[in-house]
Amino acid sequence: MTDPTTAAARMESAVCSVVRGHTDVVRRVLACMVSGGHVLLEDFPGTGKTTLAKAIAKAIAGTVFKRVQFTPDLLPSDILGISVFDPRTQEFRFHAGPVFTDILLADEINRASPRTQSALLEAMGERQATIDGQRHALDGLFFVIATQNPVEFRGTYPLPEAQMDRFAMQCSLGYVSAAEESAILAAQADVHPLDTLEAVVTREEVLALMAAAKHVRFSPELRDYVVALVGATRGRPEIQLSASPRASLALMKVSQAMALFEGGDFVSPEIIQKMAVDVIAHRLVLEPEARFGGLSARQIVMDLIAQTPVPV
Amino acid sequence: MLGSALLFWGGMTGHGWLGLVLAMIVEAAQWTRLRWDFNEAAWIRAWHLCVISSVLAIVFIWIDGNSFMTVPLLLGWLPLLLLPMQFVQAFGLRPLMSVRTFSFFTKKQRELNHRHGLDHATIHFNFGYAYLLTVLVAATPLGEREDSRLFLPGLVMLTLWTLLGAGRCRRTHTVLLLLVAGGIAALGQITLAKAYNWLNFGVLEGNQDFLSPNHYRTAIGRFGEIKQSARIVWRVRPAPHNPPPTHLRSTCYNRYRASLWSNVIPADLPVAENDFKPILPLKAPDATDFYPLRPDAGQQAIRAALPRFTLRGATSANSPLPLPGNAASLRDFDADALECNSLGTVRIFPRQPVINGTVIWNDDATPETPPRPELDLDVDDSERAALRHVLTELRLADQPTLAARLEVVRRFFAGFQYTRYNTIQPPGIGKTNQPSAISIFLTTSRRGHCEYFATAACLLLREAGIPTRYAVGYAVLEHDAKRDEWVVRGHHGHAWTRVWDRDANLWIDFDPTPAAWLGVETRAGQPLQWLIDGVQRIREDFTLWRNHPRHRVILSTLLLAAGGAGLVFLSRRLWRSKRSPAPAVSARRLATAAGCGTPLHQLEHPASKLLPPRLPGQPFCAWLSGLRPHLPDPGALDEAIRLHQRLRFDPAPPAASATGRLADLTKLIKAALSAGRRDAP
Repeated sequence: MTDPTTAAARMESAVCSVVRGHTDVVRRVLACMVSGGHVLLEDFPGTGKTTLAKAIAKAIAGTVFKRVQFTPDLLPSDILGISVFDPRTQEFRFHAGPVFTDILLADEINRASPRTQSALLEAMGERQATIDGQRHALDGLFFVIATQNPVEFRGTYPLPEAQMDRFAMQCSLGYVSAAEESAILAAQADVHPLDTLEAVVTREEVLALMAAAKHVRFSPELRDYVVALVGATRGRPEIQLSASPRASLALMKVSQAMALFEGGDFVSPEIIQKMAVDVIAHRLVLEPEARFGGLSARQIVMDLIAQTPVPV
Repeated sequence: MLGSALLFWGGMTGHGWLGLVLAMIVEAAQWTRLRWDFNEAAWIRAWHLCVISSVLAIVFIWIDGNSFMTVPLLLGWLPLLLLPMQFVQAFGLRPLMSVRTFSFFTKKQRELNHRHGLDHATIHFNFGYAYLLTVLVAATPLGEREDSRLFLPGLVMLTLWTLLGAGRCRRTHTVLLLLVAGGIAALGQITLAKAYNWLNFGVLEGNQDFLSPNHYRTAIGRFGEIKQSARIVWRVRPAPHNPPPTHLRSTCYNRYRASLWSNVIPADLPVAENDFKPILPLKAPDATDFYPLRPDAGQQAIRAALPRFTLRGATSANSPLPLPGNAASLRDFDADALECNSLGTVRIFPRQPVINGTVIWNDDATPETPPRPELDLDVDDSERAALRHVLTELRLADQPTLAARLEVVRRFFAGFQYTRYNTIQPPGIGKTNQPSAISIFLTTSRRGHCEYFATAACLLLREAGIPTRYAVGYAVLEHDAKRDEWVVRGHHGHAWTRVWDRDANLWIDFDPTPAAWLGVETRAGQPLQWLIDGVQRIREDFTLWRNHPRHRVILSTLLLAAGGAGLVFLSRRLWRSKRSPAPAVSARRLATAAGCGTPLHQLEHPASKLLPPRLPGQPFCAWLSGLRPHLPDPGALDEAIRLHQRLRFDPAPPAASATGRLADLTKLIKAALSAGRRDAP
C-alpha cells in the first residue's frame, strides 16, 4: 500500500490529463469523492462533465461506472432495481438497478420527476437502498456525480431541497481558455485521451485514501469556525432556507480530504474558506426579493466568509 | 463639499432649512461611526425607494395641475428624492456600488454573458459624485426661480473651495479650473433654460393655457396641419332650464399685423400694467361675494332673471378665463383676484390649480369699452386692396342694418372651405409687393381655418366702417348627456369676431366660420379618450374636494400619519440593523488573548505599514502573503507561514524546534522589511 498523498496526486494527474484546464475543479471533485460525499455539476452542455466522471472511473482500477440519463418518464425502479416473480422457482428475484455501482453519473438529474429524484435520497445519504422492504447495501466507493444544465429550464423539475442537501458540493467546470481549448483539440486529433487512460490507483488505494481523509487533523478552533460560518446563513433576511448541520459536516469532511490532496495532514482556515462556497451555496434558498434583486447564493456565502471572523 | 453643495441648493431654491437638514444627514457620515452593512439588495431597495418617491412626486405635481412644470419641479427636488441612495452610499460599509443596481438590463446582460461563458466586467462607482452633480443641476435656477445672479458665483465659490480642500493651490491651475467651472455652469444653465422653454413653450405652442392677453400669434400663413389636443379644458354645466353659451371668449385683440393680433392700448388711457384693472367684489343679498364685470352694474349683475352656468377646469396663475362675451358677473371662484382689461379679457389669479365657479351671463351690456376708431377700424395697407375688392363685390353699404350686413358677410364666407390644413404661401421676407395670406384667402384660395375667417371678417367689416375686434376662446359644442354638462376640449379652440352694434350700444359675437367646421371638430377623439377623460375628471374633482378646508385637514392628517409611519418603520429597521464598522482588531492581540500566539504574529505591526487593513474574514497568513513583493527572499515567509499554520491549527503536538525556528524566521523577515523601508526612496 502506497502513501495516500501520492495516490491522490496520481489520480489527480491522470484525470487532469483528460479533463484539461480544470485542475482546480478536478481536485475539488476528487476531494469530494474521497470525503465520501457526492457532487452536483451545474454546467453548460459540452464542458466535460461526463468525461470527468468517466475519467475518474477509468483512473481507478476495478471500479464499475454506470450512467443514467434522467428523463421525465424515468421511474424509481429504473434506478434502484426491481423484484421480478420467477415462475420456475416460485420466488421473487431481485434485478439490481444502476445504483448498485461504484461511480454513478446521473446525467441531467433535473429532467426526472421529483419521485425518481428522491429515489436516490436513501442511496446517497445512507449508502443503501430499500426495495420491497429489503435493504441492499451499496458499495463502499459509491460516488454520485449528477449534472444539470443551468440554461434550459423548460420541462425540468428543480431538485427538492432535501435532495440538494444530500450533495456535499455543487460546482461547475465552466469554459476553458482559448489556449486550453486549442490544446484539447490537439490532444483529441488522433484518439480521445480517455481511450488511452490507464488505471493509476486501485480500489483499495482509494478506500485507503478515504480512510486517511477521516484522520486528517481538524482543530477544535476550526470546528467552531465551520459552525460559525454555516450558522451565519441563519437569520439573514435574504435567505429563506439556510444551511443545515449536514452542511457543517460536509464542509469539515471535504476540507479534510482537500488537505490530503494539498499534501497536508491537518486543515487550515484557508482550505475551509476555499471549499465553503461549493459546500454551502447550493443548500441555500433565497427570498424571491433577493433573487430578483440580482443576489446569488454564492455571492452571499462569499460575503459571509468575508465577514465571519476567522481564527488567526 | 456635498454638504456645502446641499446648502447652496437650499439657498438657490428657497428651501434653506431642508438644505441644512440634508447637508447634516449626508455629512454626519464623516463625524459618526454609525454604519450599515448595505449589500446589493439594500442598494436596489434604496433605488426602488427613490424611483417610487419620484413617481409619487410626478403624480403629486400632476394632480396639483402643474403638469407643464413637472421637469423643473422634479429636477429641483431631486436631492431629496435621491437621498436614500446617498444615505446607502455614505453610511454603507462598501465604498462603491455596482451599476447593476440601476439597470434591469445590465443585470440581464450579466446573466446572459454568464450563460455564454463570457466575461462581464461590472462597473462600480461612488454614487456621491452622481449625487453632487444632481445637487448642482437641481440648484440651477429654472422657471419661476428667475433669480440666477447668485448661481454662477456660488458655483465658482464651491469649485474654489473644493480645489483648496484638495490642496491644489497653484495659481494658474486654479484660475483655469475656475474658468472651466464657470463656463460649464453658464453653459449648463443656458441649456437647461432652453430645454425648459422648449418643453413648456415649444412643444405646447398654441396651447390655450399660455394665451397672452397682449398678443396672439395666429397660424395664418403657416404651412401644414394645425393639431390641437382632445384634452378636456373646461366643463360647463348650465343651471336647470338655462341655455349653454355658444362661445366662451378667453382673450380679445384690436390690431392685426402680419399674422399677429395684439392688444394696443390707446395712448390717452392711463395704463397700469397692461390695461388690466381689478374687478372689485360686491356683497350679494346672501352675504357672499360676487364680481360684477361692469363696475356700474351693481346688484343687477346677479339678478335672478339672468342665466348662469358653472365653469370647472384646471388653470394656472394669471391665465385668461373663458367667458361669454356678455358675461355679467362671477361668483364662487376661489381666487386671490380677478382682473378685466378694456377689451373684456378677464384673467384670474386662482388659489388652487383647479377652479370651479358660477358665471352669470346674457346681460344687456358688455364689459368692453366702446370702440376707438383709430384702433377698431384699423386695417393694414397690405390687406386693403383685397378687402376693397371683396367689398365692391358684396356691396355692404347697400344693406340697411348691421344684421343684414353681417348676414351678407356670413353668406360670402359660407362658400369658402373650412380646412385645418393650410396651403397658403405667406409672402417671402422683404417681398412686400406679394399679396398677404389674408388677401390670398379672400381672393384666391378661399379655404382656411377659423383664424382666417375671423381675421378676414374682422378686417372686412372694419374696411366697411364697422368697428370689430378679434376674439379667441372656445366654441361650446359637445354635450355630455350622461352628466348633463358641456365639455370643452382643446380642439374646440376657436376664433371669431366681436362686432360693435351701434344701435344697441354693445359688442356682439359674430362667427363667420362656415358651419362645416363643427363636423370637423366634433369628430371622435383618440381610442382611449374616454379613459383619459375619466382620469382627468377624477383628478379635477379630487383636487376640488381636496381644496375644501375640512377635507384638507383630513387629507393632511392621513398623509402625515402614513408618511410618519413609513419613516418610523424605516428608522426602526435601520436602527436595528446598524453596525459599527468592525474595529481593526489586532490578530496578535486576538491570538494572545486566546493563548495561542506564535512568533509570526509579531510581524503584524511592520506588515500593517505596507499592507491594507486585514478584514475580519481574511486569514492572517493569506494577509501576510501580500508581503512577498516587499521581501528579497519570499521563501523565508513561505516557510514561516507553513510553521505558523502547523503551530496554530495542527492539534498534534508540534516539534520542539518549531517555535524557535519560527521566531528566527520572523526576526529575519522583520529585518528584511525594515531594510527595505530604509532603502526605499
